Amino acid sequence: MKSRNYDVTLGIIFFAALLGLGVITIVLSDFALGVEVYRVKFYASDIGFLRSGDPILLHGMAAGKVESVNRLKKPVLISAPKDISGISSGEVRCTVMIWAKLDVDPYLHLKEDYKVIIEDRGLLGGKLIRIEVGEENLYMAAESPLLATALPSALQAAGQIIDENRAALQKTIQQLAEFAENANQAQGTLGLLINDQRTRELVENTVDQLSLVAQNLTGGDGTLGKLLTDSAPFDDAKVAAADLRSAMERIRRGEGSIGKFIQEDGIYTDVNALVAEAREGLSDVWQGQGTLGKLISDEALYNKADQLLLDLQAIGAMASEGDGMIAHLLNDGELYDKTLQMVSEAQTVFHDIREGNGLVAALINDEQLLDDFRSILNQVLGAIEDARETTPVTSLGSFLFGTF
Amino acid sequence: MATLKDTLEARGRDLRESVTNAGFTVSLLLQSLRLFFVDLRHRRRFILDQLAVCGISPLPVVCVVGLFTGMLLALQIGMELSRLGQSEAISNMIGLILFREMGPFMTAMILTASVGSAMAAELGTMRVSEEIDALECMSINTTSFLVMPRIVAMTIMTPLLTFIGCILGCVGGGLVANTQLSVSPAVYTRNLLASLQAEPNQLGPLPEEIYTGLIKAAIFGALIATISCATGLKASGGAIGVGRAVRSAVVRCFLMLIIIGYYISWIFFR
Repeated sequence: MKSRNYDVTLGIIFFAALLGLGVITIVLSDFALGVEVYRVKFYASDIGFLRSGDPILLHGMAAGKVESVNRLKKPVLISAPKDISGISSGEVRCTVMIWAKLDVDPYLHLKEDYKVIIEDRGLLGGKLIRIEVGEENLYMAAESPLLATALPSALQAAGQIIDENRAALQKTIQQLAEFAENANQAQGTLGLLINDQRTRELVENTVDQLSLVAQNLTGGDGTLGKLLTDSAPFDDAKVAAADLRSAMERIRRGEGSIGKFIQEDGIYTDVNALVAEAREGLSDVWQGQGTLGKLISDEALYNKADQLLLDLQAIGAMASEGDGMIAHLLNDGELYDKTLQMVSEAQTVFHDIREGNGLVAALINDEQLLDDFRSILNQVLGAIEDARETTPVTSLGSFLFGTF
Repeated sequence: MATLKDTLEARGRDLRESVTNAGFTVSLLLQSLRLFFVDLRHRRRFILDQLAVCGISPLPVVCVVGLFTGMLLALQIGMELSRLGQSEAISNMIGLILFREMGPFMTAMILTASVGSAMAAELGTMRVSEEIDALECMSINTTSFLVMPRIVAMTIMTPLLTFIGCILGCVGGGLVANTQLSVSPAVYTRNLLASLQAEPNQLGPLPEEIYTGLIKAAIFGALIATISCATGLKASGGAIGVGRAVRSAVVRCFLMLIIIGYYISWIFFR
């Protein structure tokens, strides 16, 4: 009997537990053991079909649910939160009050520029409240009324944009329709392209040719095809790249002429000095210093050279026309023959002189004779000099003595 | 002709009987839990025997049912998803449905029908043939000797069978998805694993969805064994009483699986 009573008691407890769980899970769906609940009220002028049970997000995390939505009998004025510049946009006339249950105390987080936004949960519908705590330094006072603002849904926003741009959209659609009509009637460039049989054939031929080219390329025909399919050029390029890399490595190590030229400081210094000197020389030249500088910068010299060139041109013209000695020299065949003969005779004379034949050769080859000749010449020159000095005196004496 | 008073008295007796049976079942579970820590060393052999009975015999049925359940789900869900152009999401649906609800519940139903009914019949027969009275006369604790090994074995084997059934269900769903919905095995597997790891894993290396399903299956196993044993031990009235006990055990198991399953889901997934 005792055992039976014990079973009855356990049975009652079991069914009571089942019933309790049912109440908790079905009726008190928000029941959470050991979690403190904070009831907060928001005011709004429009809630955009927000309903009880919709979620509330704080810091992007689920923080509670909307408990109830009540229409106020009398509208209340609620101070709007400050904006980024710290200025409140005044008071908002609110007609709806939202009771919410949160698992955190929002007044521990909300700053004076907080935002409570009622927005779409997704494109398929549903609403949620998103709380942005703000960035101001000052926190909201506990139990101060909070303002919620409903954002238009995405579809509403899209509809608003369409309304604002309805005329432009209609015009665009009309233009598109006209364009399509013109294209269908083979008007305009695109219409001709679409409807013209010849153009279509051309395009088809082009595509066929391109296809053929692609086949040839893939088959390795032609230069480009070979380049695409033959690995030899690639191997050559690979080898060349390796050689170049090796050469660059040698240059980097300072090997070879170029390497030494690049790596050795002495050569660099010499070249640098040479370039500096060249620069200075050029500077002198441009300043008109030195022979080359004068040649470049002296205007009179330039004029003379110019005149010389003109004279040479005139001489050339005269020569071509057969005037003057040079022209005769250039144009007269007999004179040419005589000149050749003279040159031949001169060669004979010079040959005799070189062999020591005749007076001139003796003068050239016999040093004693040369000295005697030089002495006689000096004496003749002295006599001429004496005569030049005494002639004026003699002439003056003859004039004076001849007159008187 | 039964009067209203007689009817009310009968319903009252039924209610009292139901409450008493429920209490006896809870009492049996609590005793078994206590005896598990006390008599485990002495009952190893019985537990191993029951593991074979509970795990091996229903395995083919679980495999076949799991495979075709997955194929059936894939076919039905896939047809609707393909209309929306979302055939590739089929593995997400199959994975979540099987591991969260269908797998544990399906396996529990099979075990109730095959193992639970057998337990009720066996213990009922022992009760009506006074074998249990004989054991009690020999000071053998029938709960430790008959009930506790069965509860332990079912608690261990049900999650294992559930896991096998769910895996085969996913394989069957993949076959249908690949052959009839043109979903590649790679996409199916990737989406399946992604759906099972949708929530942060807090319990270990396996995805959380699998753990919750296995925990639910373990609770279902203990529930089936306890109810079946309690109903069998309460059998009376000869062969008819045994049959009534078996039928009653299966019905009670189904009811409790539904009710307790809802509460467990509420705790895990709400």
